[in-house]
Amino acid sequence: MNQRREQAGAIGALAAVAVLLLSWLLGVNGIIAFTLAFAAIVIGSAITSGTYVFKRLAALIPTLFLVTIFVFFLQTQRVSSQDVAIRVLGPGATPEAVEQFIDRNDLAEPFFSRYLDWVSGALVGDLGTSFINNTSVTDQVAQALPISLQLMLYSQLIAIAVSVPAGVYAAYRANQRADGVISTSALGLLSVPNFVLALFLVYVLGPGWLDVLPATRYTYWGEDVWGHIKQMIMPSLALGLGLSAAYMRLLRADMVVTLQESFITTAKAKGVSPRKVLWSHALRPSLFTLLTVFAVNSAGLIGGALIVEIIFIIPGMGNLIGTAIVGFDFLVLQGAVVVLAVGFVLLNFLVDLLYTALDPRIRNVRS
Amino acid sequence: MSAVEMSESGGPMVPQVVDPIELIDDGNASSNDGYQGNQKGFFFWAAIAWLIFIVICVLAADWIPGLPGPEERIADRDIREGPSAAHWFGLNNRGHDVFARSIHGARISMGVALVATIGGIVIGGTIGVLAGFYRRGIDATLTALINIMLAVPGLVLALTLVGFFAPSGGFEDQRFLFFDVAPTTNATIWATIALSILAAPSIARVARAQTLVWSDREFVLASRTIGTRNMRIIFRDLLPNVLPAMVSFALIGIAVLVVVQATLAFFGVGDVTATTWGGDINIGRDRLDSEPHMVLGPSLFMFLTVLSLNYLADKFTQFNSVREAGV
Repeated sequence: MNQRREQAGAIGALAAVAVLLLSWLLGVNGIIAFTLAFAAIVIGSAITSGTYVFKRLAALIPTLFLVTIFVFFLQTQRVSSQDVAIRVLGPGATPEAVEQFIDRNDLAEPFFSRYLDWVSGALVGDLGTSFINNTSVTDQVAQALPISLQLMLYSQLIAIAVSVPAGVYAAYRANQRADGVISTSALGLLSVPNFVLALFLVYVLGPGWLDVLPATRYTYWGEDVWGHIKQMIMPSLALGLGLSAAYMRLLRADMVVTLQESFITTAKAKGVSPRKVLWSHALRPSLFTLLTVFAVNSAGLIGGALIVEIIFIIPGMGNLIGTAIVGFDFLVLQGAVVVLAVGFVLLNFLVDLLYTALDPRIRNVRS
Repeated sequence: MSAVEMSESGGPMVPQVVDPIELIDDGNASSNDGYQGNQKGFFFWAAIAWLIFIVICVLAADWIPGLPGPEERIADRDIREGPSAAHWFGLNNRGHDVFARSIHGARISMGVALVATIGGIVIGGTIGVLAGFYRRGIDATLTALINIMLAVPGLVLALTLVGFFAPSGGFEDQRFLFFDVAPTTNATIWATIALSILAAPSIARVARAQTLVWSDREFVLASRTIGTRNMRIIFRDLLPNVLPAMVSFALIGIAVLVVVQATLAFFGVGDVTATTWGGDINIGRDRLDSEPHMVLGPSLFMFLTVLSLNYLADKFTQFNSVREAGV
C-alpha cells in the first residue's frame, strides 16, 4: 500500500512529461499543456506525501509574487516611458505619437497599478501584448518554449550520456591514470565558455573546415526531420559538453564517497561482480547532487542558452529574451522570465519528490 | 556556469572526501597512491604563472615595450593578415594586432570580474553570515531574497541588471557618485556593480551554510558565555572560519564572472567601445569561416585564464579539506 503511494509521485511526474511531449507533437496550446502537466505533478505527489506538497505549493506563491515584482521593477524603472516610446516608434516620432503610445500602453500610470493590471491578466493566462509587433506575449512564449525545451532535452541527453559512464569509471579508478585523464579533460571542458565552444564547433564542423553540418537557421521537426537533427547537433553539443564535464565531476565526487560505505564492502564480500556493484549498488545513492544540479540546469538552460540560441539562430526563449532586452519590450521579457521562474521552482519541487523515489532511507525518515 | 556554482552550494550535504582509499580495487591499485592532492606539481605553478602574467597585463599593458596599443592601426582595414612572427595572432578587421588586443583586453575582462567578485563577497558574505548567525526571521527573509535572485536565470538577470543600470544609449552625466568619469568608464562601473549583485546570492548560500555549521561550535558558545557582543563573535570567531570556504568559492566566482563579462560583451551590452575578450570574439565572429585567427587569440586567453582559476580553486579546496580533516 505504502509502496504504491510512493510511486504515485513518480507516475504523476512521468504523466506530466508525457502530457508535455504529446501536446508538443499534437500542437496543443502551450498554456493548457503546462496547466495539465502541473496538475499531474501535484495530484501525483499529493498522494505520495500529503500535506507536505501543499505546504511547498503554498511557499511557491510568495516566491513567484516577489520574482515578478522584482523583474517588473527592474524593467519599468529602467528608462522613462518617453525613452521607451521613442525607442519603439523610432527617433523621428512626433510628440503626439509618443503621447498616444504612452496612453495606449498605460506607461504613465504608477508602478503598482501597472503591476496589478499585469498580474490580474497573468492569472488568467494573458501575459500582455508586445510593444513592438502587437502580438500576444502568451502566444510568443508558447511558440518559443517548445523549441527551447527541445534544445534543453538534447543537450541534457548528451550531457548524461557522456557524464554518467565517465563519472562512474573515474570514481572506480579514483586517483589512477584513467581518472586523471577523465578529470583533467573535464576541467578543461568546463573552462570553455559555451559560446566559444559553439564558435569552435561552427568552424570545425561547419563550412570553414570539415563542412559536414550546416550552420543555418532552425528547421522545424515537422518540416524536415533530418534537417532538424542536423541543425540541432551543434547547439546541443555546445551546451551539452560543458554540462557533461560539470555532471561528471559531481558524480565522481559523490560516487567516491559512496564506494567507501559499508554496504559496498558487504556487496563485495558477497562476491558481487565489480560491474554490478558500480551500476546497481553504488550509482543510485550517488545521484543526489547530480539530480539537483540537473534540475537547476534544466531550468537555467531554457532561457540561459541565450547566446547559443542567437549564434545558431534558434527562435527559442533565449532569443525571445535577448530581443526583448535589446528592444525594451519589457512585457515580453517579463512573461518569459516568469515562465522560466515558475519552471525553476517547479523543477526543484519535482526533484525533492524524486529524492524519495531514489533513496528509501529518506522516505522512512519523512514518514 | 550555474553548474559550477551549484556544485559548491546546492544539493544535500554530502561529506567531501578528497583522498579516497580504494575499496573496489582491481589488484594493481594500492591504497597509498591516494595522496596526489597534496602535491603542487607542474600544473599548479603553470596556473599561478599564467595568472601572474594576466595580472601584469591588467596593471601594466600600456608599458610593455614593443607592444602596439589596442587601437593602433598596423595595416589598412580589411587586410586581416593571418598569424606571423611580428603579429602572433594576426590582424583583425580594423588592422589592429589581435595579440596586443588580447593583452589589453585583460584589463577590463579580468578587472571587472575581480572587482565584481570582491563586491559579491562583501554583499553575499554579509547576507549569508547575518542569515546564518541570527537565524529565525532574519534567516527566513534573507533566504527568500536569495531564492528570488536564484529563480531568475543568471544570464537573464545579468542582462536585466546591466540594462537597468547602464542603458546602452550612454550616460549623459559623466559622474559616478562624487567622481568625474568618462561615460564609458561609468558604464563599466555599473556593469561591475550588476555583476557583484549577480554573484552575491550564490556566495551568500555558501556563507550561510558555513556560518550555520560554525556558530554551533563550542568556542562560539564559550564566547557567548563570557558575554561577548554579537559583532565581536561574528568578526573574531566566525569570519576567520567562514572565509576559507568563501575564498575557494571566490576563485570559481572570478572564473564564472570572466565568462559572464565576456558573454555580455559578446552580446553587445555595456561599454561596447572597450577592448575586451568577449567583444573581440564578437568582432571576429563574422569572418569565422575564412579568418578564424581573429577569434582564436581572445578565446585562448580567456580559456587559459578560466582554466587556471578553476584548477587553483580545485587545489585550494583540496588543501583546505585536508587541513580540516587533519584537525
